[in-house]
Amino acid sequence: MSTTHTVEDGFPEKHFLNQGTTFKSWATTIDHKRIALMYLVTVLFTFFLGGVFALLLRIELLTPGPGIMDAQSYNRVFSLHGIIMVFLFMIPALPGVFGNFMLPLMIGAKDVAFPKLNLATYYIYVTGAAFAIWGLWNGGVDTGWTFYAPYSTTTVTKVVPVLIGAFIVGMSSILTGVNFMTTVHTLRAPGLTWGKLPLFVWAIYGTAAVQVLATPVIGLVTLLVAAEAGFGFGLFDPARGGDPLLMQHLFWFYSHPAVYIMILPAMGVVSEVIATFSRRQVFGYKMLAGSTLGISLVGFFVWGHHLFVSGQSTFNAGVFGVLTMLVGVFTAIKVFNWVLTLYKGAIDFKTPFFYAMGFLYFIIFGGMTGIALAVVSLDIHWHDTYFVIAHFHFVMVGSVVMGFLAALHYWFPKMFGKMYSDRWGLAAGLFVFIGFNVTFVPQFLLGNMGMPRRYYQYPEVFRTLNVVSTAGAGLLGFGFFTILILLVVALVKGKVAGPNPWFSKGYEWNTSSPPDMHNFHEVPVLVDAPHAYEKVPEGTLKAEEEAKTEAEGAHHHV
Amino acid sequence: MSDASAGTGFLEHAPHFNNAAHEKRAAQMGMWLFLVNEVLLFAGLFTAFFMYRFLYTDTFRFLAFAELDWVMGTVNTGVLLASSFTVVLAVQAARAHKSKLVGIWLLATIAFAGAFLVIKYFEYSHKIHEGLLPGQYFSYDLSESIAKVKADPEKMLHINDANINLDQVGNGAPMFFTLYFFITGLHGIHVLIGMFLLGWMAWRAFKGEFARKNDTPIELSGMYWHLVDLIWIYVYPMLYLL
Amino acid sequence: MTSDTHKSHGTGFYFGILLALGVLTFATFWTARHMHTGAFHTPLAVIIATVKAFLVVWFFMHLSDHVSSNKAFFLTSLFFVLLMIGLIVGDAATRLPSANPNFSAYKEMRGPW
Repeated sequence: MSTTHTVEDGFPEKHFLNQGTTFKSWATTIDHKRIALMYLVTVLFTFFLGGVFALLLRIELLTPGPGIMDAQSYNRVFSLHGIIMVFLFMIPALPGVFGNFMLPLMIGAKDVAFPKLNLATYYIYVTGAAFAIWGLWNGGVDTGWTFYAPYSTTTVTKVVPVLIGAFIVGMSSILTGVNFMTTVHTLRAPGLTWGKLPLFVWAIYGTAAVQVLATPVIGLVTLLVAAEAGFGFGLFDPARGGDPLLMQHLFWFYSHPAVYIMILPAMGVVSEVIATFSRRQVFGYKMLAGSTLGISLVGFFVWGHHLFVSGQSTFNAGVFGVLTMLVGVFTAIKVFNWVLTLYKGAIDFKTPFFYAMGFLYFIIFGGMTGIALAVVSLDIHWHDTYFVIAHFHFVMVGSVVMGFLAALHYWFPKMFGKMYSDRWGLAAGLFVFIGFNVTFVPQFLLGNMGMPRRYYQYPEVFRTLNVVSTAGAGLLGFGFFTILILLVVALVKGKVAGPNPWFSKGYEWNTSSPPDMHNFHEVPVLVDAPHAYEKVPEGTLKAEEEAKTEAEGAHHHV
Repeated sequence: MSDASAGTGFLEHAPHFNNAAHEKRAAQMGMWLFLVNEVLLFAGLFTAFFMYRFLYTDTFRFLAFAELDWVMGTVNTGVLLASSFTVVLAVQAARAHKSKLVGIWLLATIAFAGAFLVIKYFEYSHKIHEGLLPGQYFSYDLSESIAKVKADPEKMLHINDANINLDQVGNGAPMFFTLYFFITGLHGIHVLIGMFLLGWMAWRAFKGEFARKNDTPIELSGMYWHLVDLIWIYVYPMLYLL
Repeated sequence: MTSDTHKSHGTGFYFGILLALGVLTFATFWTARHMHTGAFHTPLAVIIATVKAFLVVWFFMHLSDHVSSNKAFFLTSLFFVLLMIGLIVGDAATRLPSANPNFSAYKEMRGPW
């Protein structure tokens, strides 16, 4: 790759983490890398919080009857689990952490287009999170994270603080989208055409487009529901001539594209990781970039599949059912291209690669169960059962969290300059993978047998599978804890990683680890496409061995 | 300009754009994207309006005709269009580096915006007085209004031409006003925000900040203001005329 | 194409646009209230509003000078507005009539759906 600047080997003396060490230098930073780390700390906290609620639910579900909480508390716990996970983790995490950190590095820019706005999005996010958590403190809500009217407008629990929190977090998401889209359009380094953009950048771009177009609708819905709850105007109240379905339509118009905000960055990470650890550019670059945009676009055309049994017209149901399958086509294209990349690649099975493979597994099965749910006649049986829960946890926790972990393990050395133990990384990954399967595969079975979701009690016949599921949840939580510990240990006493421990030819590796505050000392000129590996991959074990043998041979022949 | 010691001051950063024109292009693009978000925000309300208009067609059309003041609506449309024009003039003045003139045109825009809100205030107070309120607060006697229209041949001409079935008028009236107040209310909030934004720009203008090549803030604020006008261009026929 | 190459339209030109907008506003009102357009007056009002919107966006907001991406962004937003309104009002129009709110039109209608 032709670049015009030198990169410091080993651990640089001055880097973005120590260029300015006061609290003020962090609190008023507009360095995208520091903002990314601030997001990281916060999302790890919210993930932990959401996870605690999940574990409480699973513990309650160990027994068919009442367990550790009463019914009203159970409703609040699953509502808060959903709200915190969706709004405070899944939506902000990948764009906020890895979009922020990597986007400018990957296009050869010194920062995002609007650095001050970037900092603002972080504080806006924290403010929204504070409102939501204050709502939690006030007893939480019992409406489910989907807060359908008219229940949400008449419940005794206080919905307004949480709705305000969601509105504010939405603002953060919109402004992030504006920032990232503008960055990709205007700050690409000389020589970096759209056709050479790293696939993670395509993913962030597609995500940003969805953030800008979809999020205002949820903003409006939170306002309308809050007003309804406060004043009872009857906008969604059948008794006053209103239509509850209107709320569902508007809600899902955002919330379906929202899941693509969650998955697209993860898919981008997987493309990067697979390229690096197969030592080849992904097969079908254009297809992967195109299918990213395809998912962004078609993701807007499918929201009605959440309303199949709500009273929507059969005409709409038909339209949405077919369009939902179309989205599956784009995902399938991606899966085929990723798998074809592995074929004849020189696989280096490191921890990030493990997570990318986990992602593939979860997107295939999670995605296919989504297509199954898109069949209206089948959804009538599965709607509001554990089948749906298992499906979306497969894609959201399975795929998105795997993608997040892949990103974390792939870019950890770049962000912090230290390397973690690959053995422990793989072990923790295995705990997570197995724990996840043990938690959620039984839920497919439970749902198919008819166990409804959001139910506090269940018949005795479902007990065994529920116990298995809870055991899995315990293992899953343990796995996450192991990851946390291993990464903290690496931070404190890990080996120095150097600028490019994975020998990747992604653009972002062309900086020191950790990078300098201004990313590059001179603006790079990016002529080669990313991941342009040579035939005999340099830096792999095989090549090193060959070089060693050659050198020894040369010595002998002197 | 990548000074290793720079970047630790408050919100300080090394310039990452090639030149001012580059930065301006990015600023404009960012603003357009933000406006796209605003359009989608109102789209949800428009959807709700058209849905309920479809379900309660006769009531909605009757209320638009009989209870909304088309004079005030039309005048308000003219006022906002004029305010858009004065904002264009402000941008022109900024491009000519005439800072004080920028301030004057911005004040004119704010004056128009104020007029808009004053007219809105009169509309709202009339409705509150009559009991034409959203949802459960609706307390107006529609039958009286229908009778008055029936007695007026000119009005009946329009009723018949527009195929409004007076017998169907009734249910959905509270819904009409819920949507009326939400749409005009959300729009009014945006007018207020615009007034503050333009006011801040005007203050900077009178301090002379736009006497050099610095028209981007005016252009961006102007774009926001045009969006407020744009929304009203659709709201006016939607609520008052259809 | 940079936006610094804006052709400088004079004040008179923009005043002309303002006048055109005024005429179109009058036209909206006239066709809705005084002409016998019948059922066509709804789409007509939307069309006239769109022409006004185009004038504001293209000339007042200088979209004509801006990079084509901005034009694409704005058009895309309109597409999504139409998508939202179309499919959601379409739902109400094609639903089983008894699923509609009480006392609404189409509550009693029997349709092919």
